[in-house]
Parts: sequence; structure tokens; C-alpha cells
Amino acid sequence: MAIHSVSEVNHFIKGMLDAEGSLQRIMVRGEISNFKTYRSGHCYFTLKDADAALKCVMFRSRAQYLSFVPQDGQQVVASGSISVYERDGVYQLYVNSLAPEGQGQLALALRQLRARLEAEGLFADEHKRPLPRFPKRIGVVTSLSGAVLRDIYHVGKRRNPAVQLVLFPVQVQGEGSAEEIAAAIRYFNRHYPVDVLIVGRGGGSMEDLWSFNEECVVRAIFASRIPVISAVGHETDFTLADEVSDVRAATPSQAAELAVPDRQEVLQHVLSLRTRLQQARQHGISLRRERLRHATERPFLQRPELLLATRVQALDLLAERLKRAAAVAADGKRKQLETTLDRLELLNPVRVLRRGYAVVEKDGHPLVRIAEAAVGDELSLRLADGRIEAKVRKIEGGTGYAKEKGTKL
Amino acid sequence: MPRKKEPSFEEALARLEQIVGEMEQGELNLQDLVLRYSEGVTLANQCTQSLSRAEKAMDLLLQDKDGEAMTTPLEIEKEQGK
Repeated sequence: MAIHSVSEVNHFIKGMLDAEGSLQRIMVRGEISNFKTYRSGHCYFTLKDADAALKCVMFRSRAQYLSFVPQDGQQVVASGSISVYERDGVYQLYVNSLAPEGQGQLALALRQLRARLEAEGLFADEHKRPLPRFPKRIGVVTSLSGAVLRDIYHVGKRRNPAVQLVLFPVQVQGEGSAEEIAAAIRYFNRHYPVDVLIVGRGGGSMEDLWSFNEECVVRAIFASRIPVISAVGHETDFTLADEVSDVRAATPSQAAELAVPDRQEVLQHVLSLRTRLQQARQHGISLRRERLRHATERPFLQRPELLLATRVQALDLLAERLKRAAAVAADGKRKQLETTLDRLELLNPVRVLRRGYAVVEKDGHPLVRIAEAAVGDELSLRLADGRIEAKVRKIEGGTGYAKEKGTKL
Repeated sequence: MPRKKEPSFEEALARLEQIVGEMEQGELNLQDLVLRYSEGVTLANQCTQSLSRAEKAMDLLLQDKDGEAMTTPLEIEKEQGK
């Protein structure tokens, strides 16, 4: 029989375990004990059940993803692989992930419920009711003891002391708490109308908040005619009650801020409205005054004659044109007249007389033929500068006579 | 203007906001402007008064006693002091 070193034995056993596939991916249920986190960030603990214990190690690279703080006594499910720590000759579970016992099923149930209610439309935005602007009475569904009521009270009263809180005390966790919460919401709706409801509790573990994930609570909030503000847990926790409520507050204090308008702010608002009222009136009046002034200061109203001035001027212009046109027309006529007169002048017998001719008249009628006169007739000889009365002594005549001698005395 | 009854604070404030909005639009005639103004001043006074005269309200503890809503005064700071 060969003699082996300790190292060889441990190494051999490690090899055997590592070769066993069913140990390489294994889940182990047990209770945590002796949990220690070393400065290195690695965690060491033991998993126990009633009869046995198993050493466990969770290295920092894995432990940093823990979603909870493991505590002694806690029931958990660890998954990882079994191997040997050769130095100490112990086998242990190298933990990859760790979950509180039951959380897996709980989370699954929650996801399923959520999906079902969402399909029904319970979380739809169209069902969200607006909060009243100035509630007088606020219903509170929470436990009588606990920070929630106190926070709501302090914040609410600080903002407006006239707001009345009406508490319906309920259990917020544990057996029957969900039914109590749902009943309280229904009670307000049926028997004690308030302006807005705050439903909530302080932060806690997933299990502590569980009532606010129960279907009866979700349905009671959905059915509430009174707007509901949820104030469950803190910012990181999110329950179905938060999703179905009309407004979700991250904290009870914030719920009070959302529900209760600050009296000073409202007062300031009213004062600013009063100022705007005054300004709007002032503005409206001075605007009209300005328009009136503008209108009355129009030149035509101030000096109505100006209204005529342009027409007068137009009239003047027309008159001037008329005058000019008339003058032009008259000028033409005058020239025409002068020409005519000139031509007439040429025909003036006086001009002929001036050249030495005379007009012989008998009884006022000019004599053209000798036959018209008889010896002894009184004739009148008209010359350029006067008349000569004459008497016919002798009459001679014949053809061509007048042509050769003309008319002579 | 005769009024049915004194409006609630909420109604008064809403009406006041409406009036201020209308007046700021600048489309009211002068008579309406003056009428709205005096109505607005009345409303603003009502709002200010109801804000300043509001007393600290008594808080209540609501319980269901055989279907009857029963309220008792709730002194939160005392309760919390227990």
C-alpha cells in the first residue's frame, strides 16, 4: 500500500468532486448561520438544516450583486458548485447567487398578477383622476402607530392647518392586512366622503410591503371614486398599489405635499391674481384713454377746415385748368376771327375808294348800268372821304365802254 | 349682482382666475372690464378672507361601529408620544 502526502489526498478528492457533474451546478436550501463579510469583500457562512451543515463561500465578484443583506437565521437558496479547499481539507459550496427562500415564487406570482391586472387595464393612464386643488378633508389609510401618519400630519399641517385628516387605522402588514386596507378604502367611498385618500406605509422589505401588492387592495384603489395617493415604502420600492393609484408619492411626506396645497403659496397666488386684476383694469382703461386721445388729436378733428383743404385745392386746380383751357380755346377763336377780319378788310369797298374809285348811288342804291340812270337824275358819288351830289348831264354807252374808260364823271 | 350663495373657495379662485384671464386677453368692452374688475376684487377678498380665517382643523379617527361611521378626535402628536 502506497503512502500519500496530505496534499496528494486532498488534490485527488478535489479532482473526484470536480469531475462529478451534478455537483458543479447545484442549488441548496438552508438557513444561514455565522455569516461574515471579510474586508476583502468575500463572504463566508454556513448553510444548515436540522441535521447538517455545509460550509459556503461567496467571493466578492459574486457578493457584489446581492440584492439583500443575508442574515443569520434566514432561509435561503444558494446556487453554485461544490469543491474542495485543499489547504484545509474541507469541501464547500462556492456560491454564485443567493436568494431569500420564497422570494422566487413571490416574485413570479407578483409578475403574473401584474400582467393580469394590466391586461384588464387597471394601470392605464386614462383611469387616473386628477387630485382636487383644495381638499378640505383628507382620508388616511395606514396604521395608527408609525411614521407615516406623523409625516403626513406634520407636512400637511405645516402647509395648511385648516386641512382635516381623517384616519382609518389599519394593519399594514401581516395576516389580513390587505383585506383591512381594501375595506378601509371602500369604507371611505361608501360612508365617509373625503376629498382625497392617502394609502400607505413606511418602507420595508418586499414581504413587509406585500399587502400593497394584493389584488383586493389594487381593486379597491381602482374602484375608489375618491382620488387615491399611494405612499408605500420609499423611492426604490414599487408596489401594485403604487401603479394603480391616481398619484404615486415616493414618501408619506411627499403624499402630504401632493395632497395639501401650501396656504402661503395659495395666498401669494391670490395676491398676484389681485395685482394682475388691477393691472388688467388699469391697462384696459389707459389703452382706451390713449385711443381716445389719439382719435381726438387727429388733425381733422382739431381743424375741420383741413378736411376741406384738399378739396379746395383740387377745386382750385380744376378752375385753373378750366381757365387755361378756356384761354387756349379763346385764343384760337380770336386768331380765326382776326384772319377772317383781315380777309374781310381786303373786301372793304372803302379800300377801293381810297384808290380813286367812287360808288355811284341813285336813291341810296348803287348804280351798276347806265340804263338805270336818266339825264337830269340826281346822283350821289361816294368817295373815300365823303360824298358829292351830282346831276346827270349826258349818258353815253356801248359795249366795251366801261372796260376802256371805267366809270368817270 | 345678486348671487345664489357665497361660492366655495375653490369656485371663487377658479372664477377669479378666469376673470383675470379674460381681462388680460384685452377683448372685453369697457363696461364688462369694469364689471369683471369689481367682481374680481370681491372674489379676491373672499379668497383672502377664507384663507386667513381658516382655523386649525380637528383631526379624526374613523371607525366602523356596526356599519355606523364613528369618529373620535385624533391627537396625532399625543398618539405618537405613547
